[in-house]
Amino acid sequence: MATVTLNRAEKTYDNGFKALHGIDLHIGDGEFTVLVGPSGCGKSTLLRMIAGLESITNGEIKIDDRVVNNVAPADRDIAMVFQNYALYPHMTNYANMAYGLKNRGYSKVEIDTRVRDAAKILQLDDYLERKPQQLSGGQRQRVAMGRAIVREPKVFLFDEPLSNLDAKLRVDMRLEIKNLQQRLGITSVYVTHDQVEAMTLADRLIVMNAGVAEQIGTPIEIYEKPASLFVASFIGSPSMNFLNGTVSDDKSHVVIGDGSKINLDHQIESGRELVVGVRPEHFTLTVDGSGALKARVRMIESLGAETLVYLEFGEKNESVTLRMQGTHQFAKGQELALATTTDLVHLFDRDSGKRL
Amino acid sequence: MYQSKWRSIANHVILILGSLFMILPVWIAFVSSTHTREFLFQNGLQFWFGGHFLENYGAILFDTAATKGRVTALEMLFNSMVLGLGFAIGKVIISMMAAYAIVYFRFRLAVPIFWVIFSTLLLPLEVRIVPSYEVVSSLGLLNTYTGLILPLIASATGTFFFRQFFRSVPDELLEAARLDGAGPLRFFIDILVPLSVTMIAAIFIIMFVVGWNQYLWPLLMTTDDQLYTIVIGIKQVYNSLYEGGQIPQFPKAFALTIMATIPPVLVVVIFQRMFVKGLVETEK
Ligand SMILES: Nc1ncnc2c1ncn2[C@@H]1O[C@H](COP(=O)(O)OP(=O)(O)OP(=O)(O)O)[C@@H](O)[C@H]1O
Ligand SMILES: [Mg+2]
Repeated sequence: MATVTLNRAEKTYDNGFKALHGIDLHIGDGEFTVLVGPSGCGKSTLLRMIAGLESITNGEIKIDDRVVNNVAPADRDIAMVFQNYALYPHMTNYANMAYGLKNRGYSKVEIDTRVRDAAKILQLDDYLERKPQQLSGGQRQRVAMGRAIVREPKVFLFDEPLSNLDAKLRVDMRLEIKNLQQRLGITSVYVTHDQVEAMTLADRLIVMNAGVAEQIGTPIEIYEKPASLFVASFIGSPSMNFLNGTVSDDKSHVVIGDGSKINLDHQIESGRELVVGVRPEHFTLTVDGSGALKARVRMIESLGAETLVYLEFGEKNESVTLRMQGTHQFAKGQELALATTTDLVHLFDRDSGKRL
Repeated sequence: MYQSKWRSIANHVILILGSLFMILPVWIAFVSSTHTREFLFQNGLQFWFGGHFLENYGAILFDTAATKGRVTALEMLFNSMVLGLGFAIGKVIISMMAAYAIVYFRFRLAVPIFWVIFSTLLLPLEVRIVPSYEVVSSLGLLNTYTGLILPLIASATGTFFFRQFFRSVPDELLEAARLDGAGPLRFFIDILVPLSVTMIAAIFIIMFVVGWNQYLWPLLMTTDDQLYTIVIGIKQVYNSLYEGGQIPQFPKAFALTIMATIPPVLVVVIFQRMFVKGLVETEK
């Protein structure tokens, strides 16, 4: 049981590249925290700094109340699961799981009980005497998790553990990880760039962008109140529609494109230019088309349970996406009127990209 | 079909001729070594066995007179074995450790040091043989196994191959081991060495054969017959074939030659198995 605290943690690599620009973060006891962000934003760097595999350039990292900046990885009481499993190929799965305990001087009996317990939890009982190559990808990943569990560490670290698995297995393993973490109650930090994984696993989500934590919050907070254009576009699929507009004279709505209106309940000075964000699932079709966005159907994707409609509007053919429950048919070029409600509209400053 | 059949026949003919070309001299030496010297002298080289196998090989193995010195072939085989094994094992150990330091430890001069080691690949032993001799003799190690083996033990080739291999081992393995509480030594012994079995076997085979076939260095190093290796022994025997006006001892010279080839062949055969097994098992 442990907390992890980062104070202005910075990382500059030897080649002078600044990968992290000061991260502040507090991870509570037993919390499942997910780091999400586009490739190269510094997720792995941050995780590896917590693990002690990368040094920290500035700031401090604490596990519980101990500053661990200069503590060796093995002495931080953490366990890590790697994307490519990183199992020792010449050892049996049993030996793979036992290795860390052996190095820490546990007795044979103790090691055996722990490994067998973990194997039972992970349904690996029958595979202990095999070598990692003789297992499927999912089983290997479970061995890697077993290696982490047997240590009973203070903190679990996962670096994209599921990205080498196929889609179906990924869903299964996701549930399994979540269950396991809740059952063991071990503080966890999980890196992914799959936002479904991020949304479903996280107690708390950290959206990173170019070495900065753009927003920290529960998945729902982040979905409902994205702090910036970046977060808004990154979380949610298909991603949020962004429409450039100007606040009307009476401040009651924003004028978009060729004069369509989106109603406002914020107090914003008239004439201000801003970006209006509406999620594809928050548009509805209106019948009369008054005060709504009129757009022409460009393409339809039917997914069975839902239908994605890609439309364009205005003279500049700006695109907008609509997501509807069930199946629907529209002709190409057909004009639809899209409406939304004021509380589902997100407003962002056009220059800074910050939420208004 | 027709064409490929002819091509395949042609291929086989070439292969068979090539094999004969290489095997025939060995075969002739072997079967000729089972005749008496008088018979061989009168009838020339033989293509089939004579009846004196035990007699000739027994003499050469256990009788110092047959080898023209004060050692038997058995003793020379033993010396060669010590040299070959010491040479091969020493090279594997030293070059593995050197490569480990170069690949896994961040020290300032790692790269230049590697290139210095690498450039010595260009210099054969013969270039430094005089200074090496000086050093060994002033250390009082002439006519000792240590003096015979130690100066040859550093290996640029081995270091180079191990370095390339270590660099291909995924970094995550090292990181996982660090998290598992394995220090540098543990990681080396528990992870790196087992992963390198294939490499070790390959380098061991090559180095054993090279060590076994060393001629100039043991010749310089050993003035005492007791330390002669079999390669020197062969030279000795062939040199003295026509001495003393007797009928030349060709069968025994051949027998000695044949015996000198057996241990390297055995090493290759035995370790090749391991080598292939290693290739099949650890595909990482
Ligand atoms: N050893 C290194 N030396 C220099 N720069 C590095 C090093 N490792 C990573 N970087 C850089 O730091 C940035 C962050 O890398 P990091 O591996 O943390 O990204 P990531 O968010 O995990 O991306 P991905 O989703 O692709 O794994 C990248 O721009 C990368 O090029
Ligand atoms: Mg990464």
